[in-house]
Amino acid sequence: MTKTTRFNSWLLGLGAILVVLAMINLNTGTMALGPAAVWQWLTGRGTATQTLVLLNFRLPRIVLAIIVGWALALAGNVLQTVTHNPIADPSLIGINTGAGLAVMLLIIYAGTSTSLGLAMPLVALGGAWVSTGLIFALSYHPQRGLLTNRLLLIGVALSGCFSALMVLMTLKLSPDNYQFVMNWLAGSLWGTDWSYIGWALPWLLVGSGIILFRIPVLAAFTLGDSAAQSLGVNLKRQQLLLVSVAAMLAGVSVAISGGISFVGLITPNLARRLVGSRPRYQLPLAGVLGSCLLLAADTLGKLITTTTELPVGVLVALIGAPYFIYLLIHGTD
Amino acid sequence: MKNTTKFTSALLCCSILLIFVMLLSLRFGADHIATATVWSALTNPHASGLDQQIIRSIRLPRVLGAALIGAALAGSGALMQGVTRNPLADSGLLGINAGAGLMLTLCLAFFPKLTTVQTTWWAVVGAAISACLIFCISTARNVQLNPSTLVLAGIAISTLFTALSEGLALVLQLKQDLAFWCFGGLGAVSWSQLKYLGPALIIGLVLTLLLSSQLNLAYLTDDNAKSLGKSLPLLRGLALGCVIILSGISVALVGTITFVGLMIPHMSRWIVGSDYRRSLPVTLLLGATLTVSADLIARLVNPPHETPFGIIISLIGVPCFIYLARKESTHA
Amino acid sequence: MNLIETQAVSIGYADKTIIDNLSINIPQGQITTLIGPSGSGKSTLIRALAHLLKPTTGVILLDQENIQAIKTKTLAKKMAVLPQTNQTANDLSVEELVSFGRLPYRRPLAGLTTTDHEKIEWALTQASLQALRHRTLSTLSGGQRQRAWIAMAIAQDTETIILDEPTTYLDLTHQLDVMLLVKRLNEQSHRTIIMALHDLNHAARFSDHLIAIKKGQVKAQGSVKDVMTAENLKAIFNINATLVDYQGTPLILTYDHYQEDQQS
Repeated sequence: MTKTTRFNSWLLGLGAILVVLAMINLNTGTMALGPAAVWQWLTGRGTATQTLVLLNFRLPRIVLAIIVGWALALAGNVLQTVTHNPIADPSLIGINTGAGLAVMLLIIYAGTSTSLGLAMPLVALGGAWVSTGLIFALSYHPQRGLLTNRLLLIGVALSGCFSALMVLMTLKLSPDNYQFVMNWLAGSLWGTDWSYIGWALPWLLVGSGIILFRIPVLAAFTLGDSAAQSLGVNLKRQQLLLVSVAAMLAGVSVAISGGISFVGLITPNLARRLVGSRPRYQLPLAGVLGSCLLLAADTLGKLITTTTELPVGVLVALIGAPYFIYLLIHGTD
Repeated sequence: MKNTTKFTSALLCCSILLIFVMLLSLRFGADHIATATVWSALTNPHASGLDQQIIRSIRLPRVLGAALIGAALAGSGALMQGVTRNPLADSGLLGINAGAGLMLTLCLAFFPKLTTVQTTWWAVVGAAISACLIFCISTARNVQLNPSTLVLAGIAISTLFTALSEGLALVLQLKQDLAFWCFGGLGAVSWSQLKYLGPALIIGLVLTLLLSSQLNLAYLTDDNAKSLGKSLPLLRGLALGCVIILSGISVALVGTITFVGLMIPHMSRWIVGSDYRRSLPVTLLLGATLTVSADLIARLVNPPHETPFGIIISLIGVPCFIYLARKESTHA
Repeated sequence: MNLIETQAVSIGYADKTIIDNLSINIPQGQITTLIGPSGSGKSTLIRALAHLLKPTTGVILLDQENIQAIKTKTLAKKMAVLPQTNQTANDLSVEELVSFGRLPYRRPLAGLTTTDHEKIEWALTQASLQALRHRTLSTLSGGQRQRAWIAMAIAQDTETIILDEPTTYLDLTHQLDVMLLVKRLNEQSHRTIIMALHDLNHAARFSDHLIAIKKGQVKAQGSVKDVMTAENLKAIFNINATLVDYQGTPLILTYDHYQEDQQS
């Protein structure tokens, strides 16, 4: 019973933190929207400018951070459970670099980075999926299904290959575009527009749904592959399905937010140290932690500097890593 | 019997290949130098034409450096994978790259007047500091060194330091200066560095080979090893010490090269099997061969400009790696 | 009647064949034990019977149906398997581990049903784990932990239970606990048990049917009395065994190396 209580209180606490972070986020930037202003707007007495800033600039960014953080965390958690490797991460299986390579090709052949609209996330998603597909094909064994260890290794190798190609291609980019691509790779939460969010949301909802639906299967995976199979889990099929869904979640996230690599790695490990390794508790908590982490990073970025854009990926690491180290030293194991 | 033959032939092939690419490396480069001149530069200490000078003072240290560094990176990767029992481990997990990178950023930001050799030393210091931090974190709770905590602590510190240097570089506009270091290159390796760092690398490599029979114990659990009279935590400490020496120096000299440490140990295991007494020597030779050939290609693609050599390593190494991985997955 | 039949089954990994052209029958409602030296292919065969490993040639029939054609989930309702090594899920409680056995019966998003709770309760009782149900696995002794894993297999409520060396690493008392539990499941709940064992005396005392394997080939199969003979033991284990009859069961009193014995 204590485990459930613990999970519930963490979930509540993190929910509260998320609200507070959102309020702070609203309150920072060139036009501050304090709690009073938000309340005014909520009760229908806001000015037109307030409405514009809130609806078109602040809110999409907050929503983006929340959904992307959630999706990356879930993807990371699924990969770690299925591969039995605590340092597996979506960026490891070539999702970030595949998407980055595609974006770079698009920019080289289609010109500027500003006027591409929805073509950009679509191309990024395409790149992410092509690279994932390639890695799948290379690590699939006709008899034994997806070889998960091999999947990670080949992912890392191909990822290295893609980034090498990207470095070669940077020579062809104009300085402006170069800067954009570099920021994109470091994770910049750039898709802050309702149309991007509207495009990504259905994918993320379906993906999260499938994963939450499979929590009992993921739980069986924590007992080991043989035990899972003898409990009626069709290993080949479930591995393929779960890893594909994780790749889909991560691919869509990367498409609208750039290459944020640390969230998927750290949040499942944080969640495990807080509530243990039962997927029933670990997965949702990791997801909420992901949202919190990304929103906190974005807020901090806005508080530190409004002139130079610090990639949110860098800030995620600056916030997440110290807390993780603290938990490694003091947390439960 | 079959394994021994395989091992001997692999060892022989790799050595011949290594010597061959080293000679090629001396022969070819931005300047066209005749084979006879290369030969006289190596055999006749009194030959002192300009070409002989180039061979002796520029190409020779570079080729030797490349071979040593390649072996060092591959060896430390193998040690890390053995010690952590994680196939994805490499020296990057000990925060070597990140620590060296952060120190380099700090040097560039606050002491831009330092010479290359001085910066190299600071990078080694940075690598050692982050490695120590990771040690402290992973031993804070358990008295013994636990592989999984080590891996996680390594990831955390590496990410933190990388983020710090990236953030600093962005805020202080240092991106361009760091770029070369990030992609790796052997252009800066000279006798003045090799004089001090070369022997250190050689000592590290010999230590690594001495550890190879012990490293097989890392396949066991801590208790099993203890009952054999061996202490795994001690072995881990020794191996990690080697890794700091080997990859700290390499990374400081040539920048971040991730592929060699991660992939080469797997490739040699797939070739000669997972007994470290066999796979470690092959690992060292393969690492050296790959690094020397990548450096040669980097010089030849677009002379006199050098193509970043980390790219070449990935482009040659990854197809080989995937081929071997596919071949191996039908076994086991 | 035969529950499981293997027909000309070969099993191997890539270029190495471990089991070659093997045909055996496993009778329903009995305890069948595979015996044989280390590396004889016992575990490989057990893993193939349990559908954890696919034979390279030949078919394995369960109730006259090709095991490869049965859906994994359906199969999990017919037979439960306890693999030799299990990942240590240390922060689970005994009850949580046992409730995993109900996974094949769970509907998506639904919680545990009344039947599920009854079966979990029954499995805990069978394995005498009621008092330990809230303890986490990491706090249990090796024998208790093994009983918890067996209880998980019991909760699967299958006609057949397959155990791969369930007593390895356990002390005498705990070995006996596990064997008595297996016997009870067979006698009271009429489960068909298939297991691999190292301890020949346990195999003789608790089994109805023995299959002796050496180098991937069946050397002897049949009732305990037929298989546990001095000649068979000589052929299979290279030992010279002194057998005694204890309440109708042949047991090994002591044994020596066969070769050494010849020299002396």
